[in-house]
Amino acid sequence: MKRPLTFSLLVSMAMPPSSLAQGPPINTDTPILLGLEGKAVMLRSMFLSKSQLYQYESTIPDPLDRSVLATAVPLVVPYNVTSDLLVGVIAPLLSVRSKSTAGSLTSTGLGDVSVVAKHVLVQIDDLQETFRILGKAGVKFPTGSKTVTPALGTGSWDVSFGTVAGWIGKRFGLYGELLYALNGSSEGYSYGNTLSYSVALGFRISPAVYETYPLTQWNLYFEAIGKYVAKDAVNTVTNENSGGQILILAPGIQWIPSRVLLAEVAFQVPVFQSLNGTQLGTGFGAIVGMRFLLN
Amino acid sequence: MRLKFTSLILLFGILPLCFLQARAQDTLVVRVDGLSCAYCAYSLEKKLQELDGVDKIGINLKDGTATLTLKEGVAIKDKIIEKTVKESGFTPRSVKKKDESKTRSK
Repeated sequence: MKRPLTFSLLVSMAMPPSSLAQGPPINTDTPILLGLEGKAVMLRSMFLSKSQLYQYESTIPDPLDRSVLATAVPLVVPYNVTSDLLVGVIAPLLSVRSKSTAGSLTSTGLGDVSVVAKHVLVQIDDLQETFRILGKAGVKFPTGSKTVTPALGTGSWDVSFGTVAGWIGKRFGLYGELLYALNGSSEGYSYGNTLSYSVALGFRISPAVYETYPLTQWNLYFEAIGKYVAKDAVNTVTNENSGGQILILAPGIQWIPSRVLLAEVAFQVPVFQSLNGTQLGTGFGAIVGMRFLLN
Repeated sequence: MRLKFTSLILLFGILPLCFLQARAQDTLVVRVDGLSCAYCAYSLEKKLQELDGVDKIGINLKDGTATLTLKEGVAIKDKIIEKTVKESGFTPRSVKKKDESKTRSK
């Protein structure tokens, strides 16, 4: 059994940025809790591709010419239980197409649903700026189908925990996230645990000075996303062609034209991959999304 | 005689003023720290709007202030405003009355 492609997508979606002078980063989480009583809704399309066969850090020819393209539309609804505690639900709708010389297969449907909680640990506020650290934890449920090909879920219960930190100033913001996922198993297949990290630098292009709210706003983000994934195991036998590490750079731009709407686009470019054994590597990705507030 | 007449004029001139209700629409300026994003301002605005007696709200991110125009004859305790700001997820620094106020007679 192979680790479903959607797994890597699901790990990245499990802890999405929620719902931010700037908006929140596109890939990295933000330490500002703005669930807005469940009325802050995020809808985005995420595109992830895998098309190059890797052997450790080198690409090799693939006689089967395999490729996978996954499109995910996660519906994210956060809710502030208190001003210090936020709970969110992420329900991803997936469409996964895998191709090879043998043909093409597509699966569409609901992926693995996650519930995430974040709590403020440190908060230091000043005029036009804030520094915050949050604790974060989540559970992923095996709601995605494993009986279809390609699979839409892992079939496993996973838990994750970590931290989100950020300093947001007048025009710049620096954000960071560190997350460890304890991945479960399903039908004898144990998924390797994952350590994820991301760093984001945000800059408000316009306006130069943000005075009276609301004003139309443009933000630029430059993010780096990394993952260390441990090897999987099949009935306690290690799968040598699994796990590894990857580093992705993700520049993006964000437009906030009104009180209730935010639109954004980001590209994901893998700049380093070191994969165990022989595996399909990660190709280019993109995120196109909207966040809106239900008045 | 003249003195009596003047006194009566003054008495009947001033007395009605005592029965006039001076209506003031107070404006409060709340200094808030941590307002570092547009959605932050939205969240604060929504919470402050829920307070009874608030007529209008203006938020200035550069000054870190929320200006509350209250309905006529309404007063809100500073502690209530500070509590609302904290519930929005930010830090209140001060609540002050703005110097100007509107006065209208009945």
